[in-house]
Amino acid sequence: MFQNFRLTMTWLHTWFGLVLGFVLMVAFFFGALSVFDREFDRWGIPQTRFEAQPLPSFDTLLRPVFESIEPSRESIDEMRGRVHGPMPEHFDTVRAWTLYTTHRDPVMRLNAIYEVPNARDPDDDVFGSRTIDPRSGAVVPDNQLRIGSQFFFPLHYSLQLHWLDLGEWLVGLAALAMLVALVSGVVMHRKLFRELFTFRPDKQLQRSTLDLHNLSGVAALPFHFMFAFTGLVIMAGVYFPVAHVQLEPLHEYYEKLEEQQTGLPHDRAGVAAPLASVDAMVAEARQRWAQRGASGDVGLLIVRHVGDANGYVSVFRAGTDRIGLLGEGIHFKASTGEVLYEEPPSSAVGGVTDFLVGLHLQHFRHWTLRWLYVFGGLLGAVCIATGFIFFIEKRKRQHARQGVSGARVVSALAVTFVTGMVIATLSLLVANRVLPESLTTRELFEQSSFWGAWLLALMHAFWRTGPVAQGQRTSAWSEQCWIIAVMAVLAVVLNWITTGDHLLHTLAVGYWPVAGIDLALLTTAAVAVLAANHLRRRAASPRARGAGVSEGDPAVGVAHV
Amino acid sequence: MAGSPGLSRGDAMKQQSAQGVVLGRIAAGVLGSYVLTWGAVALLIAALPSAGLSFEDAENLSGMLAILLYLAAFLWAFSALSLSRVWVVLAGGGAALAVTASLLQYVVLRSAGG
Repeated sequence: MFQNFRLTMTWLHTWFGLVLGFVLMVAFFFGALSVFDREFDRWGIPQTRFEAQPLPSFDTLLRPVFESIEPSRESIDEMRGRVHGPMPEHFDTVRAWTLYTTHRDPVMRLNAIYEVPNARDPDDDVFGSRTIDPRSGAVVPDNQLRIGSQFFFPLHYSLQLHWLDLGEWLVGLAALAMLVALVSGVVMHRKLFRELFTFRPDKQLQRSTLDLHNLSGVAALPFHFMFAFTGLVIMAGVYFPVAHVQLEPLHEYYEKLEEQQTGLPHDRAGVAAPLASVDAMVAEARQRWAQRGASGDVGLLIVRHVGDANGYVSVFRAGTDRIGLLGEGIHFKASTGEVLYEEPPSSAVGGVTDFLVGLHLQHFRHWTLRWLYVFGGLLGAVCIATGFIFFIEKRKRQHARQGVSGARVVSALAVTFVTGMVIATLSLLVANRVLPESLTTRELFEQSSFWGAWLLALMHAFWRTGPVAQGQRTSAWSEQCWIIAVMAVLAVVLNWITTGDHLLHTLAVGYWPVAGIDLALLTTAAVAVLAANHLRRRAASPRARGAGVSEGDPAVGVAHV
Repeated sequence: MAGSPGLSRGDAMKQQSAQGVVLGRIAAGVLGSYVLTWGAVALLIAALPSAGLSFEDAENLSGMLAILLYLAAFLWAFSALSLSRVWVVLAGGGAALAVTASLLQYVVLRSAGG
């Protein structure tokens, strides 16, 4: 497309980086927050603020809850249009019960998946879930948003844009753009670097923005590459569903073959059968893990073909002390409790896959590493944000002369996707503490506060970036920094007022899920104030006033938090 | 950024064709690479289980390689000299791989008596 490879890489870096950079900001920022998804859940749902619990008795406590679950209204609504004839009144055939838990989960979420007899696609299903306090079996109401695991985490990989799975595809393309940006960035870095970036009247700030862009990109290069790559690996089956489309017959053939090898029934027998003691099966699994020198807790429990003679129970060991999420699966016949199949050590490919997936989802216990993940993710956000700033600074005076609005639009979007995104996040936290707990549509209001605040930040950003069109500086950054500072402190204060869990208390008792988030919020406020002050000083200095230079710093400061 | 004022007609036409070139490259990079990668994934999934891997391993391995192949194909689509050659290799190659995979699937299922 261009005279040489390096120019092509530069073009790719600039334009794919810019266009998909906004999606990448969302992926990096909310990915960084998702590292502490369960801690955000605790902060937002105060009645779940207690220590992580071991798996309670299945037979006496979990089973009655599983049996009481019903398919959710949403999942039934989603199923409409995918059935022959009318929707069934009730769903009696339970395909599976599942429970996944980690060393950071005080409450447990029980899921049930049901067959839909008249579904067009026989593999389709409806599902329901219930969250319980495992100490008592009491049901935790589901009208409160699990801020971390239900909102930030899906936002990180799907943008909460579920129509046609558009969000997942956009994030996938953005992750690819990240890989492209890293490769092309390295190529550009060689020599062209200087020629490309010296045309600048206000050399100093541009230089420093670019330096930071390069530094945050290069310093965490392996992190950025691995996260974009492993994210794509996790989603590879979504992006390339070859085995479920073109090769579905082959897939079924191998599944049947596997069924013969493992003895785990693929389908129901159609004959009713009771469920033996699952507690005994869990005890047996633990004993076998201990014999293998891998004592551990249950991470995943699945009962398949519930109530059927072909039913079986799968018990997987939690990967608390490993990279891989789960392992050492042992499968029991549901009606008798006898071991059907004990999984052998994973194959080479299986081991690599578990490693890559576990590396990304990090359910292991290692708090230092967990924080490094956060900083890595925020460093990625800094890298992208400084890329935006650089793009704007490079063009804004030229665009001003030509009367083109490009730099202004990018500037407004950059504000929206840096400080605006933080404001939206804080707005969700504030709404979470203000809304009454009895509100049935609470979840909806919490989410609306997020999107509403983000929209307002966008409007503010477009309104206040007018000067950029004249090649001048915008005050949007510093104004949004002040909003961040106020809202972050407000969130901490509201948490104190509504729950009584102020920092002195949470720190004294060492309850880190809430103390950590409160401290992070206060740090956010402090950095936002520093950034706003820094911007004010810059705006006041005569040099800056003439040259219009203060795009960069707030992005850097805020994204760091 | 498009449509700067004060361009001559010749410049405008040049800019338009430049935009066409860019769009052509983007289409090749995004869609063409997808076709090629789909074909490669299909062939790997169809072939690897016959070479002794489990089906799941074949799926996982092809998924990992898919990402790297897509990245390489994408970069190449922008840097190769001839756009038509890019399309021949990406779309043609992808189709050929996919057809081979389907044939292989047919053979495997046939020999299994399915």
